Amino acid sequence: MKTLAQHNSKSRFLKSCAALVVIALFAIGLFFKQSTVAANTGKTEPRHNAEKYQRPRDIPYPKENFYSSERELLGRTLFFDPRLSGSNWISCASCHNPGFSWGDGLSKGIGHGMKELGRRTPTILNLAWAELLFWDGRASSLEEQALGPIASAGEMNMNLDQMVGKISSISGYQELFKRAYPGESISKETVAKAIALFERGVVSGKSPFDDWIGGNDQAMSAEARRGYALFNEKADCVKCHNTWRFTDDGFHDIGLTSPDNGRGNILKEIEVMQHAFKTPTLRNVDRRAPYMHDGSLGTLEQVIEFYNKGGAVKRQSVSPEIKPLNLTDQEKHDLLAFLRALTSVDKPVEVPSLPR
Amino acid sequence: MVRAVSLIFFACFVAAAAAPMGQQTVTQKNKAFSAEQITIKKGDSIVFKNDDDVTHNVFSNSKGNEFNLKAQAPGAEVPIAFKSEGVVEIRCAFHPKMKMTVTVK
Repeated sequence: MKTLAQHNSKSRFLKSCAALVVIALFAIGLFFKQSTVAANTGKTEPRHNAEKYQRPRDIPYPKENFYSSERELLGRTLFFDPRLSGSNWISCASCHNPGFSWGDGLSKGIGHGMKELGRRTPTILNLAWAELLFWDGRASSLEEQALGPIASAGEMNMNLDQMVGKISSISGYQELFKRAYPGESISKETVAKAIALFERGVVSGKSPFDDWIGGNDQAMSAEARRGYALFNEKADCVKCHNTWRFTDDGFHDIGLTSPDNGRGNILKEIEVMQHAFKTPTLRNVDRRAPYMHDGSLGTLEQVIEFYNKGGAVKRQSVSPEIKPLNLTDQEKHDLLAFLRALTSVDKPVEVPSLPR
Repeated sequence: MVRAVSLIFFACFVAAAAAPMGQQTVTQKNKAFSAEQITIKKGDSIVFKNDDDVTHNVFSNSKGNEFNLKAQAPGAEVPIAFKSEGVVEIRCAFHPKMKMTVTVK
């Protein structure tokens, strides 16, 4: 039989254990409560739509023009070669200059005979994922697009048959084509395939935004983080500038004053396509001023102001998504900080030795 | 258990009764059609419903079945009857990545 003293001793021991368990549970509860508070109020920023901004692992090359380093070299060489133009003076890279994030920094492109073109030069960044090419979407693949500016009288002004003859006469090219596309002749098609393949590899690198969306809270400033929330909510830029490339590959009349009919020249019967142009990527956007298809806005501040006012003109074709945003000055500042966080620091681009 | 099965049968019956014969609904959500390919009979209809938070403009230029829904606000739905046999390519003018094919037999 247990004595009363033993019983009391055991009872005290059990009470002590129970008290310890209660304290431990309380401490654990407090810890989790504090963690939740910290997550809600401070260090961990909300990342709306984070899954929609993940960068892809691979570049999608079509099986009929699969990647090889020999093809990439040929495409790069053709891209930088001014002999693809009638004047022997303009290359693809003359307008799509890697130093300007693959644009030209001008409000309108400059073509053959130094004549100004009708639209601003679009970047070729991240086109491997694009649906339709050119500002008005008149080409459905990079292979189809590649020869357009070469043959255009206003741009590179080169007869395509003559181009094939000219390239074929350069012995260095014969070897490059043989290695890149064995069994295929030097032709308009192989030139287009090589340039398209090179362009697919022009991809913007990781930006501060990518690091932040990946979990590094310090990768973007507080302004840029607030700008991200605005981008996805109040300003609703994400309605068109979505996916990791920040474009819906769509066409919208955003209410610019330019008389250019854009996509309306292709889809004449569709009212909302009149004055509509392709949504450009926002990757590295602060390196590509001026802006819009007509280069009419010189700075990103002007672009934000344009959208804040709900566009410049009202007409039937203007997209229903375009409406006044009522952003405060601080919000405009934050949005700008976010846009600047989309710029990557990319490696210098290698300019190839051109074959003779 | 018997009650639950009865309820399910009743729900299916109501759903079938609500959709007219020869009519299907295709929604637009997250800038995609709910079906990429559908086969229907000549004269059947498809109801195009915008379940997105953006405006769409569904259209087709396929000969014999041309149509243009014009700007279709979120929530709106429009029936289209397909009058000719053949393959009908359907797109959204705003969002060309939205593609679907209707085979009319």
